[in-house]
Amino acid sequence: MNSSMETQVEELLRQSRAAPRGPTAIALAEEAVRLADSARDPQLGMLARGALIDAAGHGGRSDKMLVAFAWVLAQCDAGERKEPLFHESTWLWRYKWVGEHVAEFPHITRGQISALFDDMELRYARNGNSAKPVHKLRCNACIRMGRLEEARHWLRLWQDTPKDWKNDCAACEADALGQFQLALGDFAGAMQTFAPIVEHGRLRCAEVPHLTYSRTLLPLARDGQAERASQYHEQGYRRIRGNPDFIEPVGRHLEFIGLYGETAEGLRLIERHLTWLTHSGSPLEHLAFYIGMRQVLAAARAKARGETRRLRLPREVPVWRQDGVYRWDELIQWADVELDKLAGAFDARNGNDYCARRVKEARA
Amino acid sequence: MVALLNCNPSAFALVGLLTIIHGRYRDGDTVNQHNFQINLRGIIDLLSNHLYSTPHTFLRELLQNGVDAIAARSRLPGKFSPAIGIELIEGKTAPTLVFEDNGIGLTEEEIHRFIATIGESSKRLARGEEAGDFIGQFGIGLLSCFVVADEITMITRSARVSGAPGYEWRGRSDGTYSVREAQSEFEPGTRVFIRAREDARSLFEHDVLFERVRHYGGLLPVPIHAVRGETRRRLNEESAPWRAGYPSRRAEDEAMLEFGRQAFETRFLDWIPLKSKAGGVDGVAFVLPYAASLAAKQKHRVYLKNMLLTESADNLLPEWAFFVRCVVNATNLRPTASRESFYEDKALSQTQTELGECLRNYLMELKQHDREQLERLIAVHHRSFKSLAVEDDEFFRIIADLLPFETSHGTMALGEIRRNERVLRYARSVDQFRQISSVAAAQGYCVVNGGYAWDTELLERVPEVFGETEVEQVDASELVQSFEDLDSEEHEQAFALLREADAALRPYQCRAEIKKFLPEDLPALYSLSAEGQFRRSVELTKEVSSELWSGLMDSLAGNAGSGLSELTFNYRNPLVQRLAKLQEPRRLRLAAGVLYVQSLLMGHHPLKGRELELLNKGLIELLELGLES
Repeated sequence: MNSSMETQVEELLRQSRAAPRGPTAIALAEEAVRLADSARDPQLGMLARGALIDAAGHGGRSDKMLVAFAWVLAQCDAGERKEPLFHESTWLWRYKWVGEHVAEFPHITRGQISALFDDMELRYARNGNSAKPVHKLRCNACIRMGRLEEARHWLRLWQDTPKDWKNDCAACEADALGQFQLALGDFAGAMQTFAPIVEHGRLRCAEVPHLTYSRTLLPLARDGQAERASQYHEQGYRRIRGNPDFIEPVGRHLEFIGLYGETAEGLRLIERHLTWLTHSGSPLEHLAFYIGMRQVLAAARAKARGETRRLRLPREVPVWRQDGVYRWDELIQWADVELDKLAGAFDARNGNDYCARRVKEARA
Repeated sequence: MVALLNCNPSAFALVGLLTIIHGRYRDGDTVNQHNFQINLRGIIDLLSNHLYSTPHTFLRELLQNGVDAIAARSRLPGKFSPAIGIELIEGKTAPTLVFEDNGIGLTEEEIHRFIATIGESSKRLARGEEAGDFIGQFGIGLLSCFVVADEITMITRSARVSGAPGYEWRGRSDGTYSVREAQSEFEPGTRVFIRAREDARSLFEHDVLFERVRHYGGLLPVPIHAVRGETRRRLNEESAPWRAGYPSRRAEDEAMLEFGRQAFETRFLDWIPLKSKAGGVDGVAFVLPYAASLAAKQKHRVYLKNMLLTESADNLLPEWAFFVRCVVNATNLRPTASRESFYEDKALSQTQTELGECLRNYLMELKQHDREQLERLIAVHHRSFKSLAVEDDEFFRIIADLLPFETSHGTMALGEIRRNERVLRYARSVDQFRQISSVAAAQGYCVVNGGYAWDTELLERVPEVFGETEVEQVDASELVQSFEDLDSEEHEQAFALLREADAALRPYQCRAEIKKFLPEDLPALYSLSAEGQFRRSVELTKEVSSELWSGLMDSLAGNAGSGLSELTFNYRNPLVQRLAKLQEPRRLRLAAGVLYVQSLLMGHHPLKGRELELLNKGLIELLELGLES
């Protein structure tokens, strides 16, 4: 029986890896985890969780990744097995993915976030790895929380620390640096950092330039380079439209469309991607999506002749209607409710009004 | 002679390496001895380690130089019949490759110019641009031979100036070169001698060499001949197989499939002609005989202006088209610096769309003219077709009824499901499907598994595309709701069971329910929403985690919201009927606990520590009760 369970788990993992990134790949890996656990086979449990971490981390469910990662670390810490799968050094690379998303859930406190990075730094140090990636992740988390002074501190530390092979690839590094520069108000510096990615196409990896284009849209348009921005919009959106891991960048594309693009395209994107929110994404990514969505809806309302419009929204949204006819006002109101709820939760955790200001800006 | 500064190339960034100190050379009488004045090793390193994926690439570069030279000469007035020749001469110490063309040739000034611009050209290459004009390209092409040789000799005579003398150029990989007037008379054109370096000798075998040249230049219109002693053999075809005429459709099919077999060592199911205006693309797509996955991107063979560019282009087709491998020639696409792939620009995305159209139209036509063949293809490639159908309503409408789906009655085509069911019920994930499929089948319900890639998205679009069919998402608790209710008397009787079960299961966030359903031998069904499923995994992980992580798990659970699970007893089951009559709180609670854990196990839900305890204690107590009575 056991060996047939093993083949079943392996078959599920194979299918999970072959599936496109998103809910299917995640569900298949979860099924493998359940099978392995119900057979009380820790070796398979580790293997299946490796696949789940990959699928969830790259498919829009960082919460599931966190849970799987916690289990994996617990097995390593128990120290009962000697195989490489049970050694923490095997998992340190993936720890970075956890660190990247941990600030996206408002229920996770600032204390917990900083404790997680302390833990990560300790594990990196005792395996002989440079703390450089941890500094970068702390900087990222601070920026996500709108704590920009702290972010500057970690940015300097990140840049001053020498790298080793646990470092991210050159493409990811440039994408991150440019992102930080933008958040800290250095537009020119950011565009220079992004140039090898978006202009020359020299730097790329699995998620770059996918993410990068979306970051440049609004800053470029505000700089008077709307044409270049819409070119990047086209190139970037094509790369992200298939994977629910990219809710936040889709939100940024929507925001751009709302302010500078065709509202018809924006509405089409809302119809297409709103289902992602029902089974994917972290609350912080949802916030970015709702901001973009609200921007499109407001632009559509301003241009529209009537008060209503037919839309194909997923059944799960609270304003859903069988006939598909929606009033602009009710849609915008719904977006506002979601935005206030999310921004309130995050600002309470972050100890500032960063998200509320972002939301206010989008409403202006 | 100036010695070259010898630097360790790896210590420099690529672009910085290529800095040129502008050429100065001394004029002698007959022999002019010069120095490249650039870090030649750095450029060779760039070419071999960073730009070219195999050392054979120097052959492609030589061919390209020959083709370009012939094109340049044909723009001059006067007739000539273009030809490229290649010969391998065995030497005492090492074999030498002789490569010649009767193209435009170089004047002395041009020889110096290509050398002077090599630094600039390679800088442009490293930036991902074209190496420059004809002379710039020519220099880079010639230099690529240093990947396999330490010394290159070229004799060349320009066709531009009538009666111009020929020149002999000798370059060495240490960065020195000489130029002198050639001793003998010869026709315009260029001949390059490349003596194999020790570590590259294996490339200098007749079969290897000629096969490679055929490989790179197979589609070139210029005849390429292999010379071996007195014999000359033409290496390239007259024309690409898909451009040739055939006596019959059948002969064409056979020829094309044979071409595909040779190109990819695969017996393909079918072939599809390809054309794109935007990219100036023509060629052929071959349908794979096995199901491919989206993750494993198919590699295509691509020629650029009839010269082989790459065997591994993976960005030529839209993402959904992972059921084919292609051989194509492109004229309007821009290659990357390595000349092994294309820039992702507007022309490429337009080309992707147009090539996608070719494949799509072929499939739509099969539906009309050769449905059997379409069904054969669907059996293998339904995943690929589904991923197209997701973004293409019209295609979906045409092909939908033939697409297979997993259901509680086995795998069925959508058309068959639509004929049998007024309402199309589906489960969103494999887990949900597994929870309900056998029970649903026992009731005679057909439930479709929407858990595989694209299935849910397609099923949800069915009403829009077809109108008459309704779709409905079901999960275990909804399915349970549709089961038969107990009548009021039965319900009265079962009340104590439900009350005690609720009490026993409350600590496990589970409530009890009772219905009548099949199969009879199933005493209870456990159902859990996706939220509940997540909550379980959080709780399970919390049990093993340290303080930090267990705190994080609590925070995540706070984020996820609640999700009660449900245990539904089956009133048709004899054991449950006896329990319903029992009315004895302690025994009922025990039984509910044990049935709960048993249902969890049957659904492959890993047990939390407290549930395991519940099972152990419950079994022992039941045994004791049994012994007492």
